[in-house]
Amino acid sequence: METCDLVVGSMAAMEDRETERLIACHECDALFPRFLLPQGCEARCSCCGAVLARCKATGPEHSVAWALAGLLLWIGANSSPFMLFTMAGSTQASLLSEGSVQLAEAGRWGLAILVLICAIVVPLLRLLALLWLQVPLLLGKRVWFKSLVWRAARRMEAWGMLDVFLLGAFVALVKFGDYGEIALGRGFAAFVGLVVASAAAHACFDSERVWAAEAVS
Amino acid sequence: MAVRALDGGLVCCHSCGQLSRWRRLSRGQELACPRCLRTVHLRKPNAMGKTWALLIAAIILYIPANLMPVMASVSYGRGSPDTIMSGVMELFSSNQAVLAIIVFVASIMVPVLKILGLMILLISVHRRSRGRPADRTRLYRLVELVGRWSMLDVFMISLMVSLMQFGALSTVEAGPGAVCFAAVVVLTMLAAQSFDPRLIWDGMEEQR
Repeated sequence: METCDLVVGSMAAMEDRETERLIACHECDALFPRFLLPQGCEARCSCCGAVLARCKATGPEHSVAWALAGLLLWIGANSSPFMLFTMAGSTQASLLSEGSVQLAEAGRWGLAILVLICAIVVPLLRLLALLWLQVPLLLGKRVWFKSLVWRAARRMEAWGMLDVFLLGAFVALVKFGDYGEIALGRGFAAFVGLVVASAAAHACFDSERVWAAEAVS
Repeated sequence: MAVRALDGGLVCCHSCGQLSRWRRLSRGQELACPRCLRTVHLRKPNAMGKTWALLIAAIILYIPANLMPVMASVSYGRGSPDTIMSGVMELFSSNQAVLAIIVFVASIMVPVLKILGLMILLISVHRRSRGRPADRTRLYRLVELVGRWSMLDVFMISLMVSLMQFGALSTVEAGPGAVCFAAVVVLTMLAAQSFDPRLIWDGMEEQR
């Protein structure tokens, strides 16, 4: 089996042997020696069970491919009708962003911005961050603003809620049944694809490789 | 128990996990992670105070979130304001038991679980409790993991609002309860993020 080197030789780590040799659990602060992790394996903390480190079997090319697919599907999900609703003879088609627009028009600005951020903006920015960090890696180029993009992506992590939105859409579908006829648009199909592609892109992303690239260049 | 980074004078970056050596800082100085340049702290600054503040705000808003209507639908002149619970009951009565359970878990059980879970963690840290630290860390992980699923109701409401716009015939509007409910979800998510699970393990050494 191929092994990948978990040891990261950043500037400060090279000055300090101890920070290079050790790894700390981010949930209980226990210290462990760093070691080579076989590909596709993860190391867990023996104190609290948190994941200490992972070496993913997938390379940046997998993550980039999924992220590119996600980007195209994002455009599709936002430009085609999401759902079509027929009631008393008239049909209404709505885009994914329509919910935010209507909430804002009704004066519920907080809700409008929250939905816009969690369902549309953050998922897009997270995909762009994956591309920003990994495409230069594939081309053998330097990643500009690596630490800045990384930190921004980490902060956004909890606020991308594509999967939750999809489940919410299913509940809404059932509720609409009481009022009239509901049909799914092309945008909905693209959105389902986006949920899958984005989950896969983030699952394939191996941050250790992004950091390790610095030592080479 | 294992040797801890704190004892070795090491600090783990909260953003990227890189270890670096902790230095005593003078007032106003900050130490940045050598790898991702985020400010590192031995423990999240003022974690207990921040978490309590956000949690108490969430508990207060939890009351109007459940009592006030989250959605008001007017259909053929008939109006029916929906609260979170009445929405679940409505799904039950229209024979959608599976969806009703999903919505019940996401919108009613998860917020309660998050609030109670964080309270248990905060109180146990205040009391320097030594019992079952691994289980308490697991509880924290669970609270962080399930938190976002409460947004389900907010998204559902936004979709209903976006499609049910037939003027006088039928409209759906988001009620004040929805604003409170969304605030509860956001506040509990922020509370979970500002808590530091390493505090659970900090009392262990000195008492042994």
